[in-house]
Amino acid sequence: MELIERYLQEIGRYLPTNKRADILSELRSSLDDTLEARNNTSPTEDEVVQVLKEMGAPRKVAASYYPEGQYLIGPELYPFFQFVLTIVLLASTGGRLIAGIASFALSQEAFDFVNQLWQILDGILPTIGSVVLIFAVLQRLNVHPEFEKKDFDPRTLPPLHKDQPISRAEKIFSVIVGTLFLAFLSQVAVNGGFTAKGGITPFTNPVLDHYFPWIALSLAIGILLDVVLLWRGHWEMSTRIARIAANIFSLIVLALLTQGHTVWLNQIGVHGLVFTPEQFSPSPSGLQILGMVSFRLAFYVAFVVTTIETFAMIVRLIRGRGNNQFLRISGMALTGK
Amino acid sequence: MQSMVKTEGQVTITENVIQELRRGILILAILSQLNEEKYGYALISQLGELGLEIDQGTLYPLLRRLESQGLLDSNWNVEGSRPRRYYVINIAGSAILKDLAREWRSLTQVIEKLLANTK
Repeated sequence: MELIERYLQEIGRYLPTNKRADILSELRSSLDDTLEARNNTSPTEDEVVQVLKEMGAPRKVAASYYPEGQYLIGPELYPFFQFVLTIVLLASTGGRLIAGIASFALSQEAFDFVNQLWQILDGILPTIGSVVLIFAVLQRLNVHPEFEKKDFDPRTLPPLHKDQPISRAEKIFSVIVGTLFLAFLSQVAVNGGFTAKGGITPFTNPVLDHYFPWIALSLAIGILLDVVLLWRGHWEMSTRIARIAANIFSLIVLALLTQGHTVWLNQIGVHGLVFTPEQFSPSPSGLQILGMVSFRLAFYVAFVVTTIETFAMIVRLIRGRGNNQFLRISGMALTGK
Repeated sequence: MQSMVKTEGQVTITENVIQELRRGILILAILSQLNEEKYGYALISQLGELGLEIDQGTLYPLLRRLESQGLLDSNWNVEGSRPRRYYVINIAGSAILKDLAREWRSLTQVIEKLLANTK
């Protein structure tokens, strides 16, 4: 009957090719037996429908031939996949972000935020796709990582992960200095900013003036995070992630500042990173140039220090995540021990 | 007062738990009836007559799995009214059946004791 053949054809779509014909022959034989057992040599369509309904929907019947389930990445590989994906995404996205900010800080071109963001986002999907593809192949090849040693000894378990306590004195000092600096910047801004009225002074800085709201925001975020840390008393995953995000924001602001200073200095004919004695003159203009070069140098130093601190935070974050049995197990699976 | 009528969710949970309980038992039931060659529908009928209902969608994949685990042998027989695949327990299957039967008897005794005070 055509309905039976249509039913079997549909089941066959979801069966493994090498077993398809054999399984379908058996199911056909069983359906014929069932109809025959109901004393029906020429069944009506309704009777066939009833028998097929009893056997189940085609997808369900086909799926029951896969007792271990059908997965792109199965439950055994999935935790390992998650771990690898996190590392790869952090490394590739973080690397692109830092490289983008650094190249921008050293360039003299206008900042194209959308393009920078797009370049970072553009790399995320291919990265995820590649990792998924590799694990799908491993799944297809039926590779099972060894998650447990055969002779499990509980005494070899890693010690309990304790949150790293913060240095309260350091944080209080940081909050006080940050608040004072923010207050100073705000006061200067209220009093007319860094551009002096009625002439050029060594403190005249149009770049700081321009980016003042961003500098203030970056400082405020830092102070807020320090207050939260003081309140919590120790580092946690959430505060580490927040600190990394805040540092990345600071890096962007620092990059804007250094690039702004470079553009300004180039416009008045001071090229290169070093301010030579020949370029100095005791005139107000010379003093302002000295001030601008000094500011730029300070921002470069801050950029490098913040970059190192951010990398250290990322490493601590990964090590924190890894300070559990899972990383140890994954490491074992990776090294094959 | 709490209603004695089961909700749809409770019915689903009950069905799932019963299905899980039956899953392991079905292997024992199938192995016990395959000391001589039988095709799928005949096995379903025999188990049904003895009081154990099993649907075709469950039986055939399970027979395949037991065969791939090396507990059953099978062959196509084309002599009857239609070609049929016949299954029979092999030596490895018989050894497993003995172990399973012993475990089952031990478990039923324990479970009966545990359920003695259950209404």
